[in-house]
Amino acid sequence: MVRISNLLSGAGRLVGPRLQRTYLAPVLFPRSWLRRVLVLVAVVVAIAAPFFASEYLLAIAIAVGIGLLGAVPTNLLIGVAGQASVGNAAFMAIGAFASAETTLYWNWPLIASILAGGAAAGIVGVVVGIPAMRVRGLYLVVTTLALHYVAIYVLTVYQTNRVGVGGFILPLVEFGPLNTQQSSYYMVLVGAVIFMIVMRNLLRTRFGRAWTAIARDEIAAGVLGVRVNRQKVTVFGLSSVMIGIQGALFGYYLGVVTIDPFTFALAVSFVAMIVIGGIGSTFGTFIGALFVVGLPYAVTTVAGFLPANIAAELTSSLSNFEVLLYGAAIVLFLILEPRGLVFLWQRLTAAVASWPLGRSREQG
Amino acid sequence: MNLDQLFATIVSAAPLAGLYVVIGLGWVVLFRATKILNFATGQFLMVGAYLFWVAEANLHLPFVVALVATLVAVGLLGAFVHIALMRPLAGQKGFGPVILTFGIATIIDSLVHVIFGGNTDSVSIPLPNVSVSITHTAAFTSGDLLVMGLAVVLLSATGLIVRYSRWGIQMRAAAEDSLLASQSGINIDRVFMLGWAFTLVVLTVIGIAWASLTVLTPDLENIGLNGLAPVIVGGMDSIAGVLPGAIVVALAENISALYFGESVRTAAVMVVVLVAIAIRPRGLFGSRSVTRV
Repeated sequence: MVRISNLLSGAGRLVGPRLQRTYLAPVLFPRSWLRRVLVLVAVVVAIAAPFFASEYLLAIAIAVGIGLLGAVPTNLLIGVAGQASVGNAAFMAIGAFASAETTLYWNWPLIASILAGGAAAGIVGVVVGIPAMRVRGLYLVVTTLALHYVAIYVLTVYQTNRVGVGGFILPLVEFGPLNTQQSSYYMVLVGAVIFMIVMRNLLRTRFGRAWTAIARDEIAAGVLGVRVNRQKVTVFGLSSVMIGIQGALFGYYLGVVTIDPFTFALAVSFVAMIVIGGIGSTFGTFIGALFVVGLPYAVTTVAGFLPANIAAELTSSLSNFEVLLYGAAIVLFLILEPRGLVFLWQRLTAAVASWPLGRSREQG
Repeated sequence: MNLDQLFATIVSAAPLAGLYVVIGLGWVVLFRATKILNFATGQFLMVGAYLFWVAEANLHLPFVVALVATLVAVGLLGAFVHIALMRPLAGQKGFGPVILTFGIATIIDSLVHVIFGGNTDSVSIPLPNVSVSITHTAAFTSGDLLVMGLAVVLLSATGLIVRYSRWGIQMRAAAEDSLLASQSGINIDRVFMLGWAFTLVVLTVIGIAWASLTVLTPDLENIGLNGLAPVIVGGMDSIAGVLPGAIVVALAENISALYFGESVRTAAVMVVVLVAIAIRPRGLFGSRSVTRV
C-alpha cells in the first residue's frame, strides 16, 4: 500500500503539524526569538548594505546573490523533484545572451530583456526536456551535459558573428541616485527574494507536492494521479526560466556578456551549492550559495595570515584550490551529512532556542 | 572539399572510434557493475596517464615495470573509491552517487592542476615505427594501430570476462537484483570493487596510449565525456553496443569537423547524444530496463 502521507513523510518541513494562518506567517513571525532577531537583522542589513559596506563586500554580496539566484532553481529541480541536471551554465548563457540581444538590438527595456532571457532559456529547456523526461533515470544528466556543450558552441559562433571576442557591452544600469554597483545589488536582492519566496510557496502547492512525490517514487506518484512526465517537464522548464533570468542579471552585473564565464565547472558549482547547503531546503540553498561563492574570498583572507611563501603558492593557484575545496565539500557532505549545512544549522538553532532545557537533552 | 578528403576523414575516424570504444567500455562496465554513471571517467583516465608518466619519466622505471605498477596502483585506487566513497552511499536512491562522481572529478582535476601544473608533458611508449597506407592520402600510423588494436582486444576481453568469468557472472547477477545476489552468497562489495578496479585499469591503458599519441595535459580528461556518447548510442548496459556507437560518433565527429572546422568536435558529439536520447533512449542494443533505472 502506498499512501500519500508515506510519500511526503520525508518532507516533514513542508507539511508539518504547525498551523499557519497565512503563507507569510512563518517567514515574518518565526516562533523562536532567535529566529525573529536573526530575520530582523538580516532584513535591515540586506536593505542598508550598499550604504555602509565597502565595494569589496558589496561585490561579494552580489556574487552570493547571483549564486543564490541559480541555486534556488537548481534546488527545485534536483532537491525537490529529484531530477539531477548539470545544465546551469548553458541556461545562464542562453539567458544572458538573449537579454543582451534584446536590449542591444531590439531596444527592449531592462525588465523585458531580463524576462526575455528567462523565456529563451525556458523554451530551450522545454524542447530539450520533453524527450529526456519520457524516460526515467539518469537521462536528464546526460541530456543537460550534452546541451551544455552544444549551447556553448552555438553561442560562441553567434557571439563571434554578432560582436566578436569582446562580447556584448551592455548599457549601465543606474536607478536614481544609486551607482552601478548599488543598482546591481538591489536588482539581485529583489530577484533573490522573489526566487526564495517562489520556492517556499511552490513547495506548498500541488506542484510542489507532486514534485516531492516524484522524487520519492515516480511509479507511486503516477498511481496517485500525478502526471509524472508533465510535472517533470514543468519543473525543468520552470527551473530553466529562473536560471535564464539569473543569467540575464549576471550579464547586467558584469556589464559585458561573453561566453567565457559559462563553463562546465560553473554548472557543477550550483550542484555543489545545494548538496552542501541542504537538498530541498530554501534556507539551505542560501547557506550553500554563501559557502561556495564565499569560499574563494575566505581562502584569500586566510592566505593573508599565512607565511608569505605559502600564501603566494596558495593565491597563484587560487582557482584550483577553491575548486578542490568545493569538490571535497561535495564528497564529504554526500558521505557524512547528506542533509547539508542547513541540518547542522537547524540543530544549532534548536539547541540555542531551547536553552537551557535543550542542552541537557543534547548531552544525554 | 573533394572525395579524397572525405575518404581520408572517414579513415581517420577509425582510431578515434577505437579510442571511444575503450572509454565507452569504461562507462558501460561500471554502469553494469554498479549502476553508476561515472562522470569522473575522463579524470580517472587522465590521472592514470599521469601516474604512468611519473613512474616512467620521474622514477625512470622500465616501460613494462612502470606500466604494471601504474595498473596495480589504479586498480587499488578503484577499490578505494568504492570502499571509501561509494559504499557509504549504498542504498541511496537516485542521483547521490552521480553527483559524487562530479565531486570526484572536480577533486582529481584540481589536484592534478595543483601538483603537475597546466603544462604539457609527453609520454613515450616503445612502438615500432610502422605505417599502413590505405590510399595515397590516408594512412594509419603505429599509434593509430595501437589504439585500434587495444580497442579490439579490450572489447573482446571485456565481453568474454563479463560473459564467462566468475566475476562477470556475479556482476550480472548483482545487476539483476543485488539483494537476491547477496542472499545467494555473492560478495557484492567485492563485485563492485572489482568493477571499479577493472574500469580504472581499462581507462588507464587507453589514457597512456592516447597521451603517447598526443600530449599529456590535464585537458586529457575532456575525452572522457565524449566517450559517453557511444554508450548512449549503443545502449548504457550493452558491451557490444559500444562498437557501433563508437563508429557512429567518430564518423559524425570527423565529418562535422571537416565541414564546420575543428572547434565543432565536442558539440558534434553532443548533438549525437541529444539525437540518440530523443530517438532511442535505450540505445541500439541496450536493454529496456535501462530507461527505468
